[in-house]
Amino acid sequence: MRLVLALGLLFSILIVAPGCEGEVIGGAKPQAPTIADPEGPKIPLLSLVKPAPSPMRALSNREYLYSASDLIGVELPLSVIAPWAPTTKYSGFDSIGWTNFDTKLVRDRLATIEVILDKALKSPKIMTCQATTLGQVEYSACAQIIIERTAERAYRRPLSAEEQGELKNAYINGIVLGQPTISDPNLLMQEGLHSALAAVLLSPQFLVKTELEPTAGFVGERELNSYELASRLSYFVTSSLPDDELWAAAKKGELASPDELQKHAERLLKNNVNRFVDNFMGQWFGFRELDTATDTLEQAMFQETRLTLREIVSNDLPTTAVLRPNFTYLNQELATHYGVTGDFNSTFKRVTMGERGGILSQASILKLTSSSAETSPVRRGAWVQGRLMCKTIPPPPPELREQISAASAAIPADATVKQRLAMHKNAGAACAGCHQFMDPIGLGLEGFDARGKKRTVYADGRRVETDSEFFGSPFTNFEGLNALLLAMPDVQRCAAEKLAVHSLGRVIKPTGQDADLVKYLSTPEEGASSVTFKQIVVRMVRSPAFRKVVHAP
Amino acid sequence: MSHSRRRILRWLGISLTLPMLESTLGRNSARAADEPPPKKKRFIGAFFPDGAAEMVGGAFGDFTYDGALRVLADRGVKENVVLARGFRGQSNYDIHWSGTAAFLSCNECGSFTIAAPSPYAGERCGKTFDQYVADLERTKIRSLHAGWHSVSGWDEGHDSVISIRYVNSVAWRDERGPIQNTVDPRAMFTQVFGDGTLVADPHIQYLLNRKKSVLDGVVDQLKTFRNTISAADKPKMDAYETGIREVEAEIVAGMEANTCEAQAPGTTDPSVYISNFKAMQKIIVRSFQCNLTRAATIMYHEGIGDNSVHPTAPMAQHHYAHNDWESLRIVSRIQMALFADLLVDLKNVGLLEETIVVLGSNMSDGKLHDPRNIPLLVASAGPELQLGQEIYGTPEYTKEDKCRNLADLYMDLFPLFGIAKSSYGENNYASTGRPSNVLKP
Repeated sequence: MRLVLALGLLFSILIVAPGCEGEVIGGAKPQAPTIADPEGPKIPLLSLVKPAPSPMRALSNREYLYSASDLIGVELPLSVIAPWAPTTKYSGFDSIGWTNFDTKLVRDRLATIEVILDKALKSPKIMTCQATTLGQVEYSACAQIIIERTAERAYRRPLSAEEQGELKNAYINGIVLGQPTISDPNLLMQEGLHSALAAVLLSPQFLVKTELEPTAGFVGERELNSYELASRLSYFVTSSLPDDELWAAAKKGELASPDELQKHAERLLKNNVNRFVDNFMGQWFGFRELDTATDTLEQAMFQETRLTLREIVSNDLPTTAVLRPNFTYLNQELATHYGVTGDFNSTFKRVTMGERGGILSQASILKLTSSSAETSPVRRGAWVQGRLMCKTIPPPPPELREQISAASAAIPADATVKQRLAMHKNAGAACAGCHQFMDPIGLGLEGFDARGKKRTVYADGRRVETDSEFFGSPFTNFEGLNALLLAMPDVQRCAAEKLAVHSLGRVIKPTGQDADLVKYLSTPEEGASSVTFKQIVVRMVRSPAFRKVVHAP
Repeated sequence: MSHSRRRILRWLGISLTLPMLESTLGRNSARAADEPPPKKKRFIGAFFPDGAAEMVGGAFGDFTYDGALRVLADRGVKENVVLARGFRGQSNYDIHWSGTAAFLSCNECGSFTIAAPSPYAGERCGKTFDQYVADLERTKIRSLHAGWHSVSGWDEGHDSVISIRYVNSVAWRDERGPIQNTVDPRAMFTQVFGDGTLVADPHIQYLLNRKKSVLDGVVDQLKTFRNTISAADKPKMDAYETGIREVEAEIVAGMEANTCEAQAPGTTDPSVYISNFKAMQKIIVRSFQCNLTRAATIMYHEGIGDNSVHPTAPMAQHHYAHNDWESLRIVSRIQMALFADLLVDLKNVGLLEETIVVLGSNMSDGKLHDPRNIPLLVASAGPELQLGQEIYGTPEYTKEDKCRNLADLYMDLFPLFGIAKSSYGENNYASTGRPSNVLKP
């Protein structure tokens, strides 16, 4: 067992090596804002923010599920998309698509379309009228209203004449197929609707998010129209299509006003905080993976993180509160797991406490950064660097294979975790280049086991060592490490960067105009020490990066 | 209605209809009359990740007939296999990514990253060998792709640079089109045979026609949409339309499935992993029999996910490759037994002679991600290959720069299918013009 642990740790060490370049830690605290937004509230640095190209991409599985649910007015369960191939993630977010168009996608969507349509054709949100005579089965006003209303909400814009004609044809094709065996006019109309609405639900106009060139071959920057803004905003905050109020505002052309867009952003965030937390923060920190867990303790882990982050967002707490909110949510099972005593039952209860609550001390994150049986200090360190500080640790280059092999062989079998980390880090500058950023963090988290329980000794009886030094700042345990991380500006900068990735659905680079965007989003207002998530959301939707698009040649 | 995998398996055992009447299905071969028929018609690319235990420094480790391959002798198919040594996997950025995606194409995969993007944001590899074979005839099903699991992402260091789809797909339709695996035998069965024994029911026929009609409606919408998007985005819509057309063809194949009737034996293995692959391999072989397709790939694991393959080896294959070779041996034996099953099945139905199966991995020593001397088998029947032999692409298999490119192997196999190619793969991984030594002199 010790050998397994040793080798596991060793690989964890080896998987990250050189290639860590540039400024990875530290940096001066951002200066107070000096540049005012001429268009609205005083928001720093707005004038530096520029729009960028926006790639076409398919809805992620989740976005499809939510969109279909909101379209038909029936909440579809996650089990609907369970058999689908997972959506590819970029930087941890499935809101950035790669290609994602292939036969399997068609097969997956088609296989579940009957489930969705079965509910849609019974939903009062869709079925606003019925046919009572065969004469009404033809493409009557009733069918036309149902189809075109559903399609324009699904496509998030008015239909073109061609699209209207094709959907009418799809309806008629459904009627023709059904006529030999169906005589009831209402059922026959449903056959036509089935055909047309299925086409809607599988059409690229629904499956794809894109901002089209206003004219063929258009090159340059332009303002998004109201419909495009509504779609960007709703997928950003709710991971779904625009709700009724946003849609009505889009139809009236009201969203061109930054104030109006901000008003809807705040409303959507308030009314859909669970969706926002699950899909932005759930992917940022990775805990969304646990929302389909069957193990009740893992379900509780998910709920703890979700409820804590929901309060941070809803109560407009600083972004840094994700590290130390001074409260958490526990039920009996999780409280027992943590060894917290008190009056708990199966319902989650808010508990004021300093030692748990921050995501680095929550079981969900500690579990997700471990293998099923053991912790990996390097994996946890890399996770913190990547997720909380937005610093990428690359995999080891192949040319280091022999050096890694030699370094591995030189480590005594009875070396402690801390000794192993140190010996490998000291094996050469190439190793130290990355390990200096990860190992201390991992050591600071060693006081939590692979399921997030506190520990002072390992299974083999050895004492857990959690003391280390992070770029000249010594700490003795997790609390010390957490305080160091809190003092750095990286978390709020990283929160802004991740939110930009999620909201814009594109790569955010650490340099150039993207760096300006992140700086604009994350710089605290005058007199404040941190931004809040709501502030970042509002800044984002008011910015040219959100309200404009560039069409590249 | 939801089904447990066990229930699906029972269902497969009860109702799987097996094709027997290959002659009843149409062919679209366009070979010239005076041209000799190709010796091989069908291809399966099989892949297992993470290498084999103790393949340190290019050594053979557990990948020998005394080790993981013993099952091939036990099942009577050792003489149908060439054991190839001295070929190298592809190692760009991360061997799990490039070594998997490039296994059947030998294009330089994984070099296109966010820093040096292709038009598809870093996702670019190459058309794989199975897809060239699929091009030979317009079968009802273009190709079948069996897998166990897909991962949606890895860590920040990878996911911010390179697409996870390199890991998930060993088959690529073209350089931009990774093909996702089917992981559910029931889904593969439906893909190939429709709803099986019920297909003669007029109501089922109606439902299939309705599905087909729906897809026609989608294509109409797609064409309108295509006219509005930029030239750079049009290939994405082309890929979507291709997918729709393939699913339409599958629906048609399902409607015709009643031309292929026979009863499949049920499987009773308690492992979902084993029973799933057994079922999907059977479906692949039956669809070969019925000439519903000519090409398939099987990914026995994607190599990095946390999914176990068997209760006796409950942790991830990746973990074992790095930390626990004894458990990796267990996993290897399970996967080689599945491979042996496939060969036995092909042999028993008389298809092995017209089929070539290539099995390999992306690395030898999984602990150090070593691309030298990857595990590699080529299986078939007939006089063309050095079957029953252990051959050496190079005797210097412990030296990475001396190891042979996989492309040389594929270049030797292409002519057996009647496919003319002057080279294969690209850059450092391209064919060299030298024989792979897999063919008989």
